[in-house]
Amino acid sequence: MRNFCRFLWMAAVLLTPSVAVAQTALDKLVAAAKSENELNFTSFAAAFGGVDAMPKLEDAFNKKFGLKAKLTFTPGASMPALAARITQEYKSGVHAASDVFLGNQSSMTQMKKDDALAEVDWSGVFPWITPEMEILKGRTVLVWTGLATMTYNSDLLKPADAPTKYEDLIDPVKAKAWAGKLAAPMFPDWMIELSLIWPKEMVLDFATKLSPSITGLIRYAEVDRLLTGEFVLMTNESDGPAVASVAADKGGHITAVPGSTPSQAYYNQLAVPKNSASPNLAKLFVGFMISPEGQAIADSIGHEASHLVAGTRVNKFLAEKKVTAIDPRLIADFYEKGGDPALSEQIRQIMKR
Amino acid sequence: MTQPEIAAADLAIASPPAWRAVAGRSLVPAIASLGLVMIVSLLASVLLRSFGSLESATGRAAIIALFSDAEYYRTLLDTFYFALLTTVVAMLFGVPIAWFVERTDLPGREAIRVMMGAGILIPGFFTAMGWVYLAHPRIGMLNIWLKDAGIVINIQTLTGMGFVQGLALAALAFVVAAPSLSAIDSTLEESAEIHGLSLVNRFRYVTLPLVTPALMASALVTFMVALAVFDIPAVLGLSAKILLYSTYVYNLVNPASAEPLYEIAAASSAPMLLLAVGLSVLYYRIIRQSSRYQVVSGKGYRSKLTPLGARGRVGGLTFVGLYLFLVLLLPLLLVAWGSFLPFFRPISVDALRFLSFNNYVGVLTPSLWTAVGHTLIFSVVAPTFTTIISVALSWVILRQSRAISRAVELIAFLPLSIPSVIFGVGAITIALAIGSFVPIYGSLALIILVEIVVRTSVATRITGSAMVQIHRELDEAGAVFGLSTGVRFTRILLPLLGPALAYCWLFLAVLAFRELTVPALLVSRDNLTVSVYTWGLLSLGSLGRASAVTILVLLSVALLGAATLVVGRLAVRVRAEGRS
Repeated sequence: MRNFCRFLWMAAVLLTPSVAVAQTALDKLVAAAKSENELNFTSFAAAFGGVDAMPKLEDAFNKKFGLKAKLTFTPGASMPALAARITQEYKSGVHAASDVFLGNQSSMTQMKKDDALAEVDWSGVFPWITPEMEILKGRTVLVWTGLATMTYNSDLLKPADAPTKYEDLIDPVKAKAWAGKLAAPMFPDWMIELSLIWPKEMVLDFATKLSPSITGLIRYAEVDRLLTGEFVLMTNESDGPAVASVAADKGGHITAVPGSTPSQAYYNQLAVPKNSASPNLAKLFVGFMISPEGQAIADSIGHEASHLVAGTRVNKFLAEKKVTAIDPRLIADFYEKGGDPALSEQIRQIMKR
Repeated sequence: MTQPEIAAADLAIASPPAWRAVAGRSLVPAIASLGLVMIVSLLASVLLRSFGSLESATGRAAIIALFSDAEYYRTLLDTFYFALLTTVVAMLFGVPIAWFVERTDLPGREAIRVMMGAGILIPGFFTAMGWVYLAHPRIGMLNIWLKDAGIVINIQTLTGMGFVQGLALAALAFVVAAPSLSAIDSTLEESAEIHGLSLVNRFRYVTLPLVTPALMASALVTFMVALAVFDIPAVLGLSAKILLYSTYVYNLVNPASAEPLYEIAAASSAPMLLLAVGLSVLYYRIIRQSSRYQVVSGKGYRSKLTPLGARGRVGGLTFVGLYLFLVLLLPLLLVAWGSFLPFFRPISVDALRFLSFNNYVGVLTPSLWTAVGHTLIFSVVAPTFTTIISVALSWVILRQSRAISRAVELIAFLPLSIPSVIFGVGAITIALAIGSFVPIYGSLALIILVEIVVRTSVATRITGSAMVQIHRELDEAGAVFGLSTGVRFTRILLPLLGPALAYCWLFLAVLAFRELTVPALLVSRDNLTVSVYTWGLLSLGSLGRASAVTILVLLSVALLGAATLVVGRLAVRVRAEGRS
């Protein structure tokens, strides 16, 4: 008992300075942010629940840090397009179109290569951010895990007939159930990233067999096109569980099924561009979005949250379905090494046929 | 002296001081030059960018990467077929309707004119979605009804897309052709009638030849616009794996994860530029002998309507009614229906239980009000400047020496066939280059400037085809009496061009209102527009909310239009009472 008390005391002595440092760094950041009045956040329309969520996020953000900042959300730009634009703006010496940037792995890696992201000791400043959440150390924080799954309209395709893995999509017998009703994303990036899970030859064979059976190409999150029956099955949805939740909110039934083991995932991260007009508010916003308060709002309205935060839907989905998601480091390394241009080109050519 | 010569003499007596004469002389060419500089700057920045090399993937020059892509050639062929079909359908509907409205006594002409404009207000992606729900091989209501007959209509084919796009662009053909039809001297038709020509033959042998330049302009403009349209090919084509030029470019600048390939997108504009040059030369040849088509002169000009007779009226109303049903009523009905549903369901009694106002409540956010404010400014300022520049350009094209007019004509025509997203790329390049001393980047002014450049071609066709019918003798009479260029331009030409300019402005305002591609590419806090906001909702999968925004906006525009009409009539009455 005495040893245990001694251990507790020593741990307290050792930890106190680091907590104090973190508190000090956060306090300094909050103090600096008070001189910045507005945070401009431009992103795609559904980001964290879009316009529906922004007033709540603004209130909770100001409450958490004792601020009176205005959060202005501008919907419209896609992640890669905005990343390219912010980088171009940085190189030209003008303020970024968005004070804080929400991007996927490839966009973030490219921006890091272009040295357009501010360096921040995220886990040092915010006590609730763990090093694991910093996908690109000192640059980005994972705030939203999009589990890339197959999705199908369960009112039109019986679960017994539905695919349970990607291989089923090219099974000629099973494929009869969705023949002429199969949608795929407009871009084959999901197949390129599949090479991190499957051998390249297997990916190429899969692409060759799948391509002729694809009826149409649609954008991600076009929930209504599955709900109306225009298509019954989507080969890959950027965030299947989120789409299923959106469909449920609308009174429809969409089921998300991971196509591979581990499941594919889009790790969407927040970062602060070096040319942010309100860099301190932006850093606080990043910290806020991964806090329990920020995650709760984004999860309940936008169905977007991190699998690393306990209690979020995606966290529960992985636990309930006993599914593991692909290691974010694996994807980060893939893009940091420049991806696989040869494979990308091969897949693009196959999918064009 | 003829009437205009007397008027010119009166104006000459009250001629302005010397400095105003100089300003008047140089004002029109200066405005035209400004327009040309804007077009050339943007085109140059796009072309320069296309010669940039690719840092990723292949490392080849953008233009080489583009021309080694077999899909690009297939896409171009499909695009030509699509544009040709679109033009045929648009002309088949747009020109006869313009004739009915401008040259005949068809009842309800004013209402038809308004509805032709209203049809353009509905964003193309809604028209496309409407046709998906109507004629999709699986979920289309028509196909559900025709199931037992074994007939399947598939709108998601190149031909289907061309038909839908043609219907949508008939309004453009209408707007370009209508001013010229309205300006025809009716004495020519009356002479033909006296000589025993039937209504059809009068149209064939008198009216049609007189409006040939306007019709050619209308067809060329429609064709060029069809080459670059985005929304209908995006909704109907992409989901059926049919790529057209605009969607091909869209894929290049909006990849899912890789970097946007702006350089290749810019390079893709080069063949379109060449095509624009070719069509411009063709157009120039048609109007070279423009004096053959001048129908408004200073001597006894008169415009009178042709009586249709009872059978003609029924036929005319049926034709116009069918068009308006397909283009206006049907999509509007489906948009309205969809705005009350959580997700789209075919119209049925069973679906009534899902109707609610939730979508309307959900869209009333601060972002929408901001977008409405920006859209109002954008839709008023851009068309106003575009019209001013286009009139000046048309004047230079038609009234200056052949060498100058040919060059100006050529440049003014170029932007037409290039998707506006390409100009957006050029605008980003220029705005960033001058960003440190001209803070235009990310502003509403930037998208207004790009809109002016993009629309100048269409506007110049409209103003030019109207101006070609105004005889030179009016201008010459003014010059004889010592009027400066500016005074002749503002006091003689502009009043005669009034209806055409009103058409032009209104049409441009509608196009600006629904413009999506450039505002979406350049979107920022300071220039968010309603179309970008609506497109964002569609990207979210919120078809219901996007429909609700469209209905709210259309209702507001209708109320505004009705209020303007009432106020205008009251003003006329008050003025009349004051006089009496």
